Amino acid sequence: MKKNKLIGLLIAVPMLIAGCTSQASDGVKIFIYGQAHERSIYSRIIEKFTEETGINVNAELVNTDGYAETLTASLGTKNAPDVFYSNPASIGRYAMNQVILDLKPYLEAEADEGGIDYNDFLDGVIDYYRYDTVNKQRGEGDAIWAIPKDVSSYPLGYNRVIINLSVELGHWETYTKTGAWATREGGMPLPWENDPRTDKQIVYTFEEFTNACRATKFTHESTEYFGTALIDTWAMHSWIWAAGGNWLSEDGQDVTVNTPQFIAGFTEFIDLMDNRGVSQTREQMGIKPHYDRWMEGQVAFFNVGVWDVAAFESVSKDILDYGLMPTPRANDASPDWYTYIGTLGYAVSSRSQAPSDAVKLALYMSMSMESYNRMTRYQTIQLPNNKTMVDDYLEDETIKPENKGVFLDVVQNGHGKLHPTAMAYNSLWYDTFIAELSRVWKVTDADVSGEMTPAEYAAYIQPKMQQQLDIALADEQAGV
Amino acid sequence: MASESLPTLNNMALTLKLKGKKNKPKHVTEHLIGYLFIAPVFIGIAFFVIYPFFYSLISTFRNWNGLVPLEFAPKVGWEMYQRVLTEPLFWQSFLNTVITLSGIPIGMVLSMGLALLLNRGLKFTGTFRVIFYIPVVSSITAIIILWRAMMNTQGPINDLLLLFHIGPINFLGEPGYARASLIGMLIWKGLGTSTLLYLAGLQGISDSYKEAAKLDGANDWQIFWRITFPLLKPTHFFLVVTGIIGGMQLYVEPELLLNGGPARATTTILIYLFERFGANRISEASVVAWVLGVFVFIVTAIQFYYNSRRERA
Amino acid sequence: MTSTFKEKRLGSIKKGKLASNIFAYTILLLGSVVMIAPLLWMINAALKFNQFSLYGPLFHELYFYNFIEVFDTIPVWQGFINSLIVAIPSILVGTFVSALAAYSFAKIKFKFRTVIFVLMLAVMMIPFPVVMIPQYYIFSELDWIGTLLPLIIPKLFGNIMMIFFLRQFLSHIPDTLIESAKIDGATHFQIFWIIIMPLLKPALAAQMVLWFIGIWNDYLAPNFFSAASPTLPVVIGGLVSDFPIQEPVHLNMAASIISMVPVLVVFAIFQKQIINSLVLSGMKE
Repeated sequence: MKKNKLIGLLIAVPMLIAGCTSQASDGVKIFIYGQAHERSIYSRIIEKFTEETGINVNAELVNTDGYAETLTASLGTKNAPDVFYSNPASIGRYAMNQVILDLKPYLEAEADEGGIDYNDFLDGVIDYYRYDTVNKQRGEGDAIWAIPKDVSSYPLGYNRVIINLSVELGHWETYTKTGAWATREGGMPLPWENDPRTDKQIVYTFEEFTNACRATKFTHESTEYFGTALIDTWAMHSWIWAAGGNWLSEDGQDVTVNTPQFIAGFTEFIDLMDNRGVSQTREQMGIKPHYDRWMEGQVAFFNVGVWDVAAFESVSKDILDYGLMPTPRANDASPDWYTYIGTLGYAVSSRSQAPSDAVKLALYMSMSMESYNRMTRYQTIQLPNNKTMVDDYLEDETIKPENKGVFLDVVQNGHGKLHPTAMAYNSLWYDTFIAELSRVWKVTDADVSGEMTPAEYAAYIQPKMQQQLDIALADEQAGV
Repeated sequence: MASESLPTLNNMALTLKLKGKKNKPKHVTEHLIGYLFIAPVFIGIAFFVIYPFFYSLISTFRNWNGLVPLEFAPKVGWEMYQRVLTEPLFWQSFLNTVITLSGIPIGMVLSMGLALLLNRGLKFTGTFRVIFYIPVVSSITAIIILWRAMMNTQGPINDLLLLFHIGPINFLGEPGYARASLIGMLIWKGLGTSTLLYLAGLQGISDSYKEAAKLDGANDWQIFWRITFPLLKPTHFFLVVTGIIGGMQLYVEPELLLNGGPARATTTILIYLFERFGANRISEASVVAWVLGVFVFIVTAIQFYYNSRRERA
Repeated sequence: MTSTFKEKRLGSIKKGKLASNIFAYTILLLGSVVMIAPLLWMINAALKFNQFSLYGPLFHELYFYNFIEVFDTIPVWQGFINSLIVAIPSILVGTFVSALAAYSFAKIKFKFRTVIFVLMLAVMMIPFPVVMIPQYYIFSELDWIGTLLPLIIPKLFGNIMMIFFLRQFLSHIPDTLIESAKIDGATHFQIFWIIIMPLLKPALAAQMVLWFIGIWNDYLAPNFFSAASPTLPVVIGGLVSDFPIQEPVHLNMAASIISMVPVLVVFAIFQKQIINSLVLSGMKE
């Protein structure tokens, strides 16, 4: 009989505990994700908010995994959080299904009452969160569906250590003293130097960039250095956009990957990565990813995102002394360079019982001094959201890296475009491109080329992408 | 079970305290008790599985994005089915998944062999059993990292092949080889479970059968083939049925090891389903699940049919 | 004198047995090496100082502190306890319910028996994502989201895989046994509890172990329904998503090893159970 009692206890006790877990904090419910250090920062900002406004907050801070599914399921139920993340891609769907509120009236009210003024956000970013539900146009319309949380960009970075070494060993001059710089002492200007013709930080052309990579691909004292080693899905947009191509047509109806400009940029990128001997081979990449090599100071040019700064700063300056630079432009005739912009926003559920409180919280999380201090000043997790803080930001030397202006440059001065995943109603059309991208790569280093050339691949994949885009467009028209 | 054990079991029955019960019509009570015993399972399934199941069935006839309850989703007839069934990627993922099923018979043969070895009462059998079970309980992350390290072009397996002047082979980068690597990993990972089940099955086979056969002059191979193997049929059947059911739902391993690649070579049905799910095209995901479910159901039903026919024979 | 025929035969049988034993041991040893490789690598990784020397030489670093650091980085204890809270009642009640149902399907002749069984089997084939969202709606109405109840309650009603396997097992017990017990006046429940359950022990043990492992390692459902009360895999998964680049694999491995311990313990215990119960029930002479 003792055994039966034990079994009975083993069943009853856990179930009682299970039923009792969690619940019952009042107030505005915010459901967002972040990495561990980000979550503790969010907690503190929320605490400060409650202190200053007296509004209670029930914060559910989770990690990234599974956030999307749980959020989606909850929006249709009474468990819908008041404040949650939404990116420019999803607000359209949320708006059409009426699960989020048009925040414009609340934002105006806040500004009028002397609270945080949403117009102070960096120019143009609020527009990413507009959506015209009548004409089904993103970026248009009067309604504002979410308050931006942050905006970040992904320019290139250089490793000063390697470049100086390259100059020292004479490689730099050997490879870059050509073309426009044929007569210049020492070859091409270094990445952090100004272009004498424009008196601004130099923007290399495709060809000049290749030369720079050749100059920085060498072996010295048994360490192998690589010119560049970029990650396709994040970096190739720069080449494609600079060459004048784009993923979708202006009206968003067609997939334009098989246009000559797109193919030109695409081919240039693949060539640079695979065929010019300036980068890790795909085989090498399988053993040590590009990112790891950069962190070990073996790559001269690599993308730097705002979120990367903290990690890169932690490496010793002897190994990785990095700075920011523009991505390449197509040729001398074209001054345009682009990199992609990523942004995330706070949306408010249409089931919210306290929408103006929710808006206050979101504004605070995004644009308050507290937020600026914790997210930008003490820890460089994101760019300053508030226009009023930009000058402070640029002048503050404790915020790294030194030439961080490039980040803002991308956002403010038209050098950034939204990542393709945000260009349409859903991103399956883009995923199709990425899923089979390996057809362009060499399988083993001994291969002469990949299965398909970039041009062949573009022609091959365009119909598949178009099919997905058409479905997305149909859904959007149907308001689903 | 051997009939010789009946006397022992009958003794057990006799020692039962017998209550004198009024005799209800036997067959009615019989049915009632039958239903009663399965009632909890039935209720649980009806509530937690069948209701959601029909919910999702209805969703296949609407364009549902999971954001709002189903009532608000527009009705679209067969459009969702059309979308899925006319997409080449769907059929490709179907094929990919079926290809991975080829690992099932291989795994069964290997684990049966292992179970036989472990059933001999050798020393350290217990330890071996635990060891063979380790891949089953190891974190999938560890297994993936391990296999990636082993299979890359400069890893140990390619080193071994180079000794025979083969390769190097990019196991994870080439579609054909990637599939083989995946299947290999799945077999290796599943050995522990099937060995355990074969062991349970083997220990249910009374030694007296084998003794009798030996006395009749049978050698080990004949004993195995004529007695042991057939008596393991319940386990064979279980493993094939569950292998197919589980195999068709393969998701984690190809996703983590290969990301469904290279070039969609290992995109299984569930990977395809989750992609649709993540794009909020829930109805399409439901269509995929339904087509998959019907397929597996038919295959399983066929297996049951043949199994019961053999049993009657 | 020359040895008799019988002695010679015994001698060659003994030699044959030795040879086959050596053969058996060799295979088992080779197999073990292959099987134990991931565990060895996991231990090796768990002892590394940080994630950067992960692919370095094996067992070069023996940084045991990782096992303590894990507890600081992620809520291991909470995950552990939550996992136990889910696993124990589910298995105890669910096994009983499943065994009862298996007995019924195998031995009690009621109408539509096979049809219902095959239908239940069909349920096994439904992939989780299909029922995920509707289940969310159900649990939301019941206010169970965020608690562990969505993980426990459904399991209390039985496990179809287990029913399937037990039914197979039971189908080989002769019906005459049941008949004779009934003639002696036993009810079905008495037959089930006193005769059948002991006979089922090896199968039960095997299935309970498998079920425990399934529950212990389940990530999808706990993450979806009960992220606020995370179980161990969810907690460990937090490591992966918290550090998308340069994941602290060494900590992940340390946590995974901690997670594996209960499973191996359960396995080791039930292993003995499989053997012992056979001796007691007199099935092997």
